[in-house]
Amino acid sequence: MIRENPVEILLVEDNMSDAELTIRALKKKNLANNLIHLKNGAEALDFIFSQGEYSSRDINKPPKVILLDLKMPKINGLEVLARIKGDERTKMIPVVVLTSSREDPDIEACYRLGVNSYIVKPVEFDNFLKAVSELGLYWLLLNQAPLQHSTVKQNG
Amino acid sequence: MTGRSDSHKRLTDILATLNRFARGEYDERLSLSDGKDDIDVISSALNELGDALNKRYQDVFKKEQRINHLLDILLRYTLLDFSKRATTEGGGDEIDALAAGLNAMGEEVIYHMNRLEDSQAQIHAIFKNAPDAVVLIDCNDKIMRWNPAASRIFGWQEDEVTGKFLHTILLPHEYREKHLMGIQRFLTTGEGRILNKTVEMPALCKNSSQIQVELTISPARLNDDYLFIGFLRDITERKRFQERILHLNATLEERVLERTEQVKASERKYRHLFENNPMPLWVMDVKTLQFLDVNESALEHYGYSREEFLTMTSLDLRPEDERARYLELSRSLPGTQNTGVWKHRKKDGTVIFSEVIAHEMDFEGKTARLVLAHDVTEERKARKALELSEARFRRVFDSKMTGFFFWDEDGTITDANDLFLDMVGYTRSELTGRRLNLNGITPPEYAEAQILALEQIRANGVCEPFEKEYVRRDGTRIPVLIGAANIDNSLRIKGVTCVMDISQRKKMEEEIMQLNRDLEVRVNERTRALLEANRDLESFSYSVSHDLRAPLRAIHGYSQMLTEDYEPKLDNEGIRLLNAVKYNARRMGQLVDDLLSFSRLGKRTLSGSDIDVTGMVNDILQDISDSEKKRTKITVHSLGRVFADLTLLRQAFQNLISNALKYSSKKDQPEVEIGQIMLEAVPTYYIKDNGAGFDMAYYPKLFGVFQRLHGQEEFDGTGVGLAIVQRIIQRHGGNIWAESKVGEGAVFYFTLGGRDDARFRASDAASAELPVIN
Repeated sequence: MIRENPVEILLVEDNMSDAELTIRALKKKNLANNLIHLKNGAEALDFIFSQGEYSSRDINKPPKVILLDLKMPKINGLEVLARIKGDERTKMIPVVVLTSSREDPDIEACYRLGVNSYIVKPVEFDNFLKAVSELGLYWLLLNQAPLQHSTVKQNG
Repeated sequence: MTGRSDSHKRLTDILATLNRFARGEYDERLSLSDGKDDIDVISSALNELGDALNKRYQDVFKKEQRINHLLDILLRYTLLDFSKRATTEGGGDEIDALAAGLNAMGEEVIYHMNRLEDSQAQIHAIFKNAPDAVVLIDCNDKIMRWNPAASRIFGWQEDEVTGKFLHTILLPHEYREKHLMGIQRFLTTGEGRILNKTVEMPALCKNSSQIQVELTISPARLNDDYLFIGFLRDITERKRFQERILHLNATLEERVLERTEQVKASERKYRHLFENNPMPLWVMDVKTLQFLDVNESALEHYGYSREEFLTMTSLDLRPEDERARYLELSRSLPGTQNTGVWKHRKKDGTVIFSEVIAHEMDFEGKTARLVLAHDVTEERKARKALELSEARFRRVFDSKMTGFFFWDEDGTITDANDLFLDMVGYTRSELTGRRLNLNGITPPEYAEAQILALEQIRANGVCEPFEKEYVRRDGTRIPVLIGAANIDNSLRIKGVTCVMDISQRKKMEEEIMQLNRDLEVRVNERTRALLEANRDLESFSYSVSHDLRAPLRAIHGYSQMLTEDYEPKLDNEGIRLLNAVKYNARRMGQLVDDLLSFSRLGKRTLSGSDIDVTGMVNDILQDISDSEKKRTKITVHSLGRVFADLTLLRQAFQNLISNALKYSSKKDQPEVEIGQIMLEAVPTYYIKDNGAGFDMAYYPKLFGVFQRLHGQEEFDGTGVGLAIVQRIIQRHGGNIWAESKVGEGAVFYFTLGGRDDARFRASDAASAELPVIN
């Protein structure tokens, strides 16, 4: 699946409600135009590393930000994060971890792995909306992403 | 006239003749006249007498010659010339007989002379060789002979002293006159005081020294004179010896005196011993039983004066019931005897028990008895007490509580109670057969401990109780706790050991140890389970956070979306219901968060630091939104510094301040005051408001989790805030309490444990909080 516009936000979220709420919040700020929502870690990795279903995708056109849920079936968020930050080609991509609780024992692991930001999803929709939209604004509009070097090639 | 003259002439002739006759001249005769007259008769008679006398004279003359001859012979004899013999006339008259006798005597003298010469040679040899000085002096004290012994003793040679006076040669000045007088006396009276007696006197030697001699002088007649033979013996040595003997004698005498004195002293001592003996002593007449002497102790002890006592008899000391026995036994007690214990009565009537020792002796010529009476009343009491004590001890000994045994130096158990025998499984006959030995029942691994215990006993008399085992007769072992002590003060160790059977205790200890081990295992299991549970809880918390919040978020979100997208299609009731859904979802989210926050407190490690409390409170107030503070008048006093966990303390203050603001928010002029006072010398913080307050009746519920004293519609809240505060304060070792009146506000007080609280020491670096982005 090839899109004309480069993906700006990659949302990796298995909870459809949360995904819908997130997308709605981003849409409200008109930030969801180039958003792709993937429902598990495996898909996310295929997309990010242009493999499997997404093998035709140009790895050198990474999303501006990845919103990553931690608790997912199959490959969980931590694994995905580890792969992204452990690969020269993808480690520059900002990753924001979304989680339901500040009690998440994986938070420390996230920081170790080099997560760029960490957000507890508020229960209240207003706050959630605010958090997500601020996040989107920050990473898409304010944050200066590093230049993508042409030398970075896609691995086999 | 012629006639007459003639006669006269004739008479004168007669007278002349008579005179001649008288003169022994018998050769002339008287001429006769013819007249024959009387004169002629006388003349004729005279002539005849002249003839007769002449004849007589001739005979006598002849005899005289013969006698002179004999005398000559005799004189020769006296001059020791016995060579001539007297001639005899052969007439056989008495002169011849005398001559014959004289001749026989001469013969005999010659015979004896010969013998005498032999004898003289012998005497001379004796004289020469006599060990004593032999000195002959004449009656003028001139020395005649001086033998070699005299030369040896006195230093003079015979030729040097012969003819000299003995007294000048030998006698000291003071003896000389006496000596001469002695000789004179003998010569005049024939008496000599010292003659033939032996006297001792000093004598001079040639070298002027004086020696002591023993002198014997015997007079001897030589011709008409006397001479004296002196025998002198040098007794200097003997004298010295005698003096030594004398000295010895004197010494002996002295010794005897000394000894006598000693004996006297001894006597005095015995007297003293008697008089001052602390034991009552007396002497009594065996026959009359009368007291003859008594010492002070007896008088004092029995309460009598000496005069009283000495008028009494031995019977007076006895109570009536004792007298018969006394008389029976006291009849004959020879030598020294302990007569046993008797009842005696003192003057004041007190009856005492005396152990009596009697000794028969002579006292001033009487058969007496020296009696020593030792008052044993107290001893008997003491012995009774001892017997009682012994009986008590025996009861302890025989008790079934503790094993006892006595042992001697080589470890032989000399006595033991039944319990001990039961413990070690031996019989009493084995014990009495001395077959039970401490070393035999001590296992080898306890030998050293036993030696140590013996050393302790030797040093201190007792040993620290210690645990060991004994080997029972059947070879099994019994664990015991023993304590031992020396019961003999001498160097020989002899002691008693108390033995407690600690089998039961050991068994229980073993059980307890087993239980402990089991417990440990169980604790470990439990700990593992708890850790597991903790992990479960953490994952539960996570689940709660994640899984509960997600649906809540969805409920809230979809309600919001419904409101946004379908509001025009909903009537007011529909909108109110939707709002209610959203409110409850939000509230449930809050509850979940608070609950997690509260439970997190329990496992959080404290991390202490020095905190500027005033600054911290001001920060909190800054962070609190204006809407929350509204118009409240907030006063912050100086709060000082404190050592505490910053995050937690901040949380506590925050919750309390929020509460104060919340509950006073409905007042017209809300006031909140934050300060610190000293209560009983402890710094105490307080947060005071003038808000709604609460009913003290419900105070016990104030700090409970999810406990609320106000309705939700009145004041919003989950009921966790104060529970969190209390938990924080408690974890700091402090206290929190509150005072309030409904409608008049509330004051919350709390203290903190401070820096020394043990909770901080357990803290470590790992407790650092991770930054969290909300």
